[in-house]
Amino acid sequence: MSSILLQVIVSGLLIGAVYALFSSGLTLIWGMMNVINFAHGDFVMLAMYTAFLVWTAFGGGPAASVPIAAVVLATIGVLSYFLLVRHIMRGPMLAQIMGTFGLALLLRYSAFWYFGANFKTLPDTLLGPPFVFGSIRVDAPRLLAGTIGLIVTLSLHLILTRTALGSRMLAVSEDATAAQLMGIRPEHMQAAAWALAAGATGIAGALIATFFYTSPTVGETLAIVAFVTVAFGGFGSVPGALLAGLLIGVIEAVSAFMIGPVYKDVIVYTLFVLVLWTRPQGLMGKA
Amino acid sequence: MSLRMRGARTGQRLMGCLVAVLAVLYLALPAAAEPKIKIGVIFDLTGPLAGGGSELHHLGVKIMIDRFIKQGGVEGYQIEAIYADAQSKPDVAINEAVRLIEQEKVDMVLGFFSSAQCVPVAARVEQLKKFMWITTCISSAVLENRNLKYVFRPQPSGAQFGELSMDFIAQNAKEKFGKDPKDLRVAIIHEDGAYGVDVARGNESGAKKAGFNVVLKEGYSATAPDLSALITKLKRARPDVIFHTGYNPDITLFHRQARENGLKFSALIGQGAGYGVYAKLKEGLGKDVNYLFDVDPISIWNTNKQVLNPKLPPLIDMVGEEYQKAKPETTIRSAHVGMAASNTYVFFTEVLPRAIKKYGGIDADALRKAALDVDLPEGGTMLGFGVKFAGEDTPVAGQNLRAFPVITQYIDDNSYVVWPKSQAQREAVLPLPAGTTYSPK
Repeated sequence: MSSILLQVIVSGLLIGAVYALFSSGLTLIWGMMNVINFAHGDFVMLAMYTAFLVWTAFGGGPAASVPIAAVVLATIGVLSYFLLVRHIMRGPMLAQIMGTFGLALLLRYSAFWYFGANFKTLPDTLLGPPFVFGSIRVDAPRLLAGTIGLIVTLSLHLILTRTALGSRMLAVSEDATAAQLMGIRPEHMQAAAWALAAGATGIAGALIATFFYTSPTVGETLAIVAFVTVAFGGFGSVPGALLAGLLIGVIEAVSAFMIGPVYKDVIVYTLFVLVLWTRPQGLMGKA
Repeated sequence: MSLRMRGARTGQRLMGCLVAVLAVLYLALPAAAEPKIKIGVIFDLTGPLAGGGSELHHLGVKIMIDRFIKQGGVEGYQIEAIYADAQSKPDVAINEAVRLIEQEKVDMVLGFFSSAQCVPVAARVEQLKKFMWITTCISSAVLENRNLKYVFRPQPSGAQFGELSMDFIAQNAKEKFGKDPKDLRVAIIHEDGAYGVDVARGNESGAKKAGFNVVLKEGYSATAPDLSALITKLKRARPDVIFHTGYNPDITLFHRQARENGLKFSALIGQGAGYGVYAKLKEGLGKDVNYLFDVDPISIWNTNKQVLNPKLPPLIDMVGEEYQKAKPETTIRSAHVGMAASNTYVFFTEVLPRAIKKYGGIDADALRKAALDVDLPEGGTMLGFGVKFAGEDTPVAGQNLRAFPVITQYIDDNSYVVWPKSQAQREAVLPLPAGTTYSPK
């Protein structure tokens, strides 16, 4: 394999790991509660602004902004659950869609009001020079985001499958009434799912802010990728989001290199449609 | 109750109604006596295009409209502006234009930053038989071979941008790069919307004329979160000069990833939009903004005042003062604000008064006839160029045939016009000095 192609694949894997990270929160909420969070992209946006505020206030880099954004977003996630989602879950599916869509608009226009429309960028000197491995160059923000993306996504999967908390959360998602009879409080588990999902989204947003612009509408751009990743990987499946994120990242990068950046979306979405056509539940979703 | 009393009550009620009707008529009378032109102004105040230059165009237009409102209107007509936000989305731009025309009953629309918005909006406004004055967007596709009657653009076209930048490098190839044009490796990269595609088309035709070796021509989405594949292709193609058309933030993303991935080149010519907003470039690129070029209509603060109509320099000063008041943090005044202000000024001084006086009003036909009559020689606008619109039944009906862009270079927090030679304020720094981030030496 030529070193140039290897460089392209490595870049694709890194951006793919970031896709997986910011999609895992979306898939987690769906898997736990059958709710599609249309405000997901705007959660990413808030985390990006949190990183920006941490930098402007204290000159803090990702070491400070990632944990702060995780806590801030986890709090916002819990508040969203108790103040909105818990209520709209009792309504029809349309109420859930409109409810989270309304939350998205509320967050977006609050950001407009407070931060203005102009986009912001963090200095690209926060993380130092690129890493060079032989003929492969990897810029530090993407390497950090990709690595943490992999770690956090795998951790989410382990929390769900290997811990008591995960078992209780899955029990609630399977049958909330039966779980309640076993002494599990569904509302607490659902709030924990929102905290976990939004916290992971917070980590993703703070990392993305190190190499991508921040604006009140940036969530719209990122949300499309998140929805495609989640549908591709299978709604509700964290490993599916990871696999789909990595696949989309590599397919995008290789097709942009081999055919042209203009056509990469055509390739990605053609494959996406083909996968859904043959496997509507996504790569790792349950039928 | 007696009949007489009932009659008296009815009479009182009738009298009350009459007084009310007269009061309404009285209130309505002054409005009828003071005719008004309602102008719908559309720019992107939110979304990525806002910071990429659209908000600055909005400011330039507003400064000029406020000036004419303050002076009491034009030829007895009051001016009312209704500002709308296209949100950096073509569908929103179309909806806002239609809303302004059908619900707000504006007499005309003005503005538009993005060519991707201009192309469909121009078609819709033409259908609705309203007048459209484009202050900003430059894609040839807006007007070329569409024979639009009511759409006018005082700006130069995108193809002109692309051809000028190629000519600039061709004329400097031997002296600055020590190479014949045929040996100079050039790459053309562009956002894939109407604007980028059109400028790239001008680049291609200019490259063909100059005989350059085009090693890469590639489009990309302005909202892409990752441009590393494009940069890898550029590294493989090893261009001497890159011609880049983009908005911002994609420009910032491109330069940052280019730096991280070790892309080298001898010069980069930015072609309008995001490259015209120095503050955002500096914020995103830091010292690497030094020696970048931008193709745009000249910044009104850089025009040679000796060749301008004498009434224009005080206006340029006024626009500058208002700009600084609105954005006190500005270091280099963006050409965008002046561009929008100048093009709006041409409408208020050349088109509107002529439509009212010569063609009897402000309907689309009167404004169209007035626009076609405009005949300003070079030096007649703050941007230095003249104005003469291509008439109907020509391939570019509505295009200002006398408009031209210039090439500016950013050097140590200053901007200097470096091309064409007739406008140049200093010699261009070419190629990139050794030791700078992207320089191969």
